[in-house]
Amino acid sequence: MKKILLVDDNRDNLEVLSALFEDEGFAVKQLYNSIGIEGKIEEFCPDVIFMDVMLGAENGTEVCVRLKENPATSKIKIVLMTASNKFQTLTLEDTCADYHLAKPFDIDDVANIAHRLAYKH
Amino acid sequence: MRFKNTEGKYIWHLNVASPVLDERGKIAMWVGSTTNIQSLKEEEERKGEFVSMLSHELKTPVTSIKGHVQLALRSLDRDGDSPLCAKLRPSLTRIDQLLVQLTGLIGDMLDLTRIEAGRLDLRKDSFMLDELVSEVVEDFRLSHQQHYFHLSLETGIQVIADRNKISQVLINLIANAIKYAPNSDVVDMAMATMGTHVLISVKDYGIGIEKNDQQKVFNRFYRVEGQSELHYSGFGIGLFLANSIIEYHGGSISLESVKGKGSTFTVHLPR
Repeated sequence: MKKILLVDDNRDNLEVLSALFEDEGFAVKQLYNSIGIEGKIEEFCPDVIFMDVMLGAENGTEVCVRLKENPATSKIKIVLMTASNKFQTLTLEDTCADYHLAKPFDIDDVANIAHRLAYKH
Repeated sequence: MRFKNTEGKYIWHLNVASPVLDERGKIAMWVGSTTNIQSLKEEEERKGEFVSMLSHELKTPVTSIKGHVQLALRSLDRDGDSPLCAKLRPSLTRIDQLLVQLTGLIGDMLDLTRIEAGRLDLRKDSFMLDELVSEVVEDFRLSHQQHYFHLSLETGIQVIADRNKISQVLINLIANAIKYAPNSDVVDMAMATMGTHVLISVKDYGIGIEKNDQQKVFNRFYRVEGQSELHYSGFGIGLFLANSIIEYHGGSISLESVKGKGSTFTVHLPR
């Protein structure tokens, strides 16, 4: 079973996306912030991470760059999600992410992205 | 214009030069003034920041509401055959559609601030314009099934433009065509190339616009006074945004209208 790690400081979004991904047949783990994310990744071994950009203590973009630079986590697909318009000017090269997802989104689109990235090698 | 002050800091100034004419109408001298507008610029920046934050704060709950509504619709589609489910489905579908409308309004508010600050960023790419027009019209056919959308298209028209923004303009013009034609259910659309431009027209058979008001409808916050203002809701920013977006692309929007007969808005977009 493919695994998805969700990182968002908004509990409503965590709840919606968890329900969606479980419905789509993924194993899901939720994180309310990025503190100790490396340890959680080591434990859970996700195939895809869906991470919000504004995470409170840390910025999701910085976390994404750090994970992509770390050989132990660089292969994990990362989707950065945000409702911020400032993010629109950033490219995938800037953030090192595999996909930028603008909020609000359609859940069918999110499910398609998850399947595409989870089964992409 | 920015001037460097004695502390080495750049300060925004507004510079105005006006000619003073002699009795023969020739320029006798120039009178110039420069005004420190740094505080206005800072205020503008603060306003932009505020709107940007407001947009983020509004979109966050919209994302959750939309997610919950779409999950509920999924469940109904899967195993909702009861009369209660049959009642719930149209309501949830309508909420989903209204959330798209709300997201559009939030986007409009952001664009308005960007245009006011003169920094609307376009993400230009090459795409087939006829395919975009067809997609937008198809969405309207699905959401407004009681309307007839006639579309006459020249195919294979490639443009370099911001696809999302052009889509926003088309949605705005078609939504207006529906809104201001309460007694008509027909919208005629056509797209064709003419020289260096592509022309997209949206024609309705609605209330129309008085000659005197026709140029004003593109002004920010302009609402036609009188009965229309009382009957039709809105901010008066839709056409301003549509026109500004097309102007940012180097094009224009023209209007032909007869009061009581209807209006035709035509987008002139460079190829």
